Amino acid sequence: MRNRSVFVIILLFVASIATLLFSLHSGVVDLSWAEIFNYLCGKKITGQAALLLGSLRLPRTAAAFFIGASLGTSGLVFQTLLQNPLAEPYTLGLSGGSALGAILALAFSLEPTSFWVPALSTVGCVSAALIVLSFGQKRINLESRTLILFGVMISLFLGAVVVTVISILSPTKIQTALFWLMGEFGTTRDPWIILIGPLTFLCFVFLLLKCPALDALNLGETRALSLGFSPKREKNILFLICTLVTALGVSISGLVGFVGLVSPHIARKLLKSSSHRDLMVASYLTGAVILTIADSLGRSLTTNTEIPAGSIAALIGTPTLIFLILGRKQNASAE
Amino acid sequence: MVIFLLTLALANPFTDDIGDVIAPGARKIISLSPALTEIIFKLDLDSKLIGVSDFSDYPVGAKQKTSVGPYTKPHLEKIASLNPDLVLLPIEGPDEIKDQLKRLNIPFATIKMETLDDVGRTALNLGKWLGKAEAGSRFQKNWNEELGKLFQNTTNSMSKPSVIIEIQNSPLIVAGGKTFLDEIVNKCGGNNVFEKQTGYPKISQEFLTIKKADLVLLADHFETDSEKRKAISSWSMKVKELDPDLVARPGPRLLNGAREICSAIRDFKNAK
Amino acid sequence: MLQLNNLYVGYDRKNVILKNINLNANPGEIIGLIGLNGSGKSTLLRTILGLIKPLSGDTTIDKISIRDLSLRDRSLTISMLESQTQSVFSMTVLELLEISNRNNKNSLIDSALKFSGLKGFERRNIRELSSGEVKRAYLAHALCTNSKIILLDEPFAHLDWNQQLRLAQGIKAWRDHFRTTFVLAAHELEWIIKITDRVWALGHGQVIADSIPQDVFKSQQVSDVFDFRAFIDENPIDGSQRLTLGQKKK
Repeated sequence: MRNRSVFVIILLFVASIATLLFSLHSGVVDLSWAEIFNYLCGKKITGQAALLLGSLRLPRTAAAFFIGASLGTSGLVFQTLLQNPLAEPYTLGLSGGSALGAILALAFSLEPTSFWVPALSTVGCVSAALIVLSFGQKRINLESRTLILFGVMISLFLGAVVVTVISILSPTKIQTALFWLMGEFGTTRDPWIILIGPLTFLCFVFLLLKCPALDALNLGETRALSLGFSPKREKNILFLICTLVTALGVSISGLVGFVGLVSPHIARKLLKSSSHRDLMVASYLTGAVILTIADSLGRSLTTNTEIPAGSIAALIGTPTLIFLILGRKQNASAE
Repeated sequence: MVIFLLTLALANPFTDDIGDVIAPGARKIISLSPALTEIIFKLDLDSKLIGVSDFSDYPVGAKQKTSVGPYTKPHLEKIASLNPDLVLLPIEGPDEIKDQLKRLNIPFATIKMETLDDVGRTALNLGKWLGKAEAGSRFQKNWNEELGKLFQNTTNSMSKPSVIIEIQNSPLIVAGGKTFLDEIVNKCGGNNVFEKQTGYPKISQEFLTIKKADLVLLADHFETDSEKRKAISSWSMKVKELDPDLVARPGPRLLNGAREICSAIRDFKNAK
Repeated sequence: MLQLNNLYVGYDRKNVILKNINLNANPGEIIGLIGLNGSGKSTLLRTILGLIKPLSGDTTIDKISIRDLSLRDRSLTISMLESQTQSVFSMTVLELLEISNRNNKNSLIDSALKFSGLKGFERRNIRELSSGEVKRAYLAHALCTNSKIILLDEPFAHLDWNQQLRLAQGIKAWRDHFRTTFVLAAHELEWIIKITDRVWALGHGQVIADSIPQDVFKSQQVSDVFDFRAFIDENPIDGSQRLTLGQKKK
């Protein structure tokens, strides 16, 4: 089984590299592989191609990759922390908080929008998380249904506030808001990935080191403590780090749904191992691959508009997952 | 000092409506506003037009131009691939586009098209920037003259009918204050019921009942609801349908749109 | 070695569940913890583990308070298994054991599988096991922690007689092999008397008995609280201690 894990992860890694190259290649304009390789190796290519690659495609590809990876990773952690296979990074109100922050920035026309929208969405995201966390400090556990209900309620409430605010915006702002809510790449926020990408990677490494704690937490508080982990402290730290990672991603791309939910499940199906360390690496790469491909397709399928990456991710991810679930059912016994 | 100012005046660079300097002589332009597209065609500059936004559908030649997507979210790679040397943006578009174009080193001009005056001035500017200074100047002169003639008969009237200008059927959107339609209604001797609200407010259908107006101008592309028409008439408001194509955009055709509006208001007054 | 000093147990000051608890356990002892439902057995075990803070008093290991131990050292000293342990996600028996096997000792896993009777079950997914097998898998997982003291909360629950027998045998064998101290909270008094060296009995929020099983079951206080009379003799089939309970005479 060890071998299978290694094999799958190597496969995912290769897929990631292929996806990155595919993303640099796709778009309305044809860029030859030669141009791409030359650019990456630092050799000179035509001015227009260099501009296209450097200013548009490279930041965008990097953004989709790192953010997809972050969503996959924090999705896995949330599913374990909440002991719920339907959990994802946005479950406990993070999406509502981010959305409210971003939409308020738009509503009040705070300039420049390329700073204020990400700034307020991050503030909103972290605030929502802190509210939920403080509520869960007493005897309520993160996985308790009460807390999940509370988080969902917060999301719904904030979502309603968001819709209300949107309804009084001008048509231009409504469209801007809509694209943010659907998740978008190719904005002037993408270049921030140069800072945020490595940050999220560091968080990933941190979470990877926390995998033994996750394995233990998966079995309940008593077993976690018996194995040397303070349940409350570990859960708080994990929750905060995942919130940070999610907030950073959302600040660039807006709300990309689905990837956080489905990547860990695809990883589980591919891996057949339940070790969080294996699952986390696989979720990281799966999320990255899904979102990067989704973004590539979204901007090359139609010639004069872009389909949001989040929707394409859902359109390709769901059948993939269903296929994996059904495929397994033929082989293994009841799952 | 005088020489300095003179030199400054002679070397006066062209600037757009937000103060950015525009280098003249562009040969490949993209228009992100259907109204601008119409002006470009009117000035015979369409040979330089290599791309337009969605809905740039007049005149017929505009439909054959390459589309780069809606003006609120144009496809940047498409724009980049066309290699324009000037992109024309309406001032109400999102700032994001400007930042993106800056990043790609693509020159752009931001143009305000909100008042009647803006239309003439824009034609003048475009003419200057693109090598048809005379045509631009001629357009502006003609524009101002025609509008002057149209409005002069209406400036002194005793009563001003109250008018609602509906520009979209569903959801119900009207022209409020500080819009070119509001300006036309005022200059034609009418009074825009919604002038206190700037822009294009979305109003509830109920307003048509309580905000009693003398005249409702309908300007929606879609079939005006015959039920609604009947309802409006039953509230003793006169209804006049306008050709949406003439009044929707602050472009050359707005002149005919203004004529329609003025005649509607005049007819109303004569009928009383 | 394990000492509970003047422990006051409860979730908050308003609801003190147990008062003035003074107990101790020696290396290699199997101790039974009995009490009626709601008497505080689980709460006591959780407090000993450290999951719940005592309202007053403390727990010491070789005179060192567990609060002064690092989490890791604590986990090497005391660990606990509750009766309801279930992960939402599936895993194999071997993977379950490997989570406890922190020092990577394969021999530990082998012993755990042997003593819980699950040899050959390594690759089986716990979702596919019967409830008895699942309990044994979790027991094996708990054993793998190999702490000096292992607390088990209702380990016999939901098991059929054969499974209970194997469980009892497994615990005894593990203790014999590793000299682990066990504290078993259970209602299955017939097993308590068979395998425990001592019994702690809880009632009225206090310790009402702390002695060898025979003395505890026959004691007046236990008889009052539990409302039974006990008779102890030898099981004619296997010679182990046999406990017979009956209603108290009016």
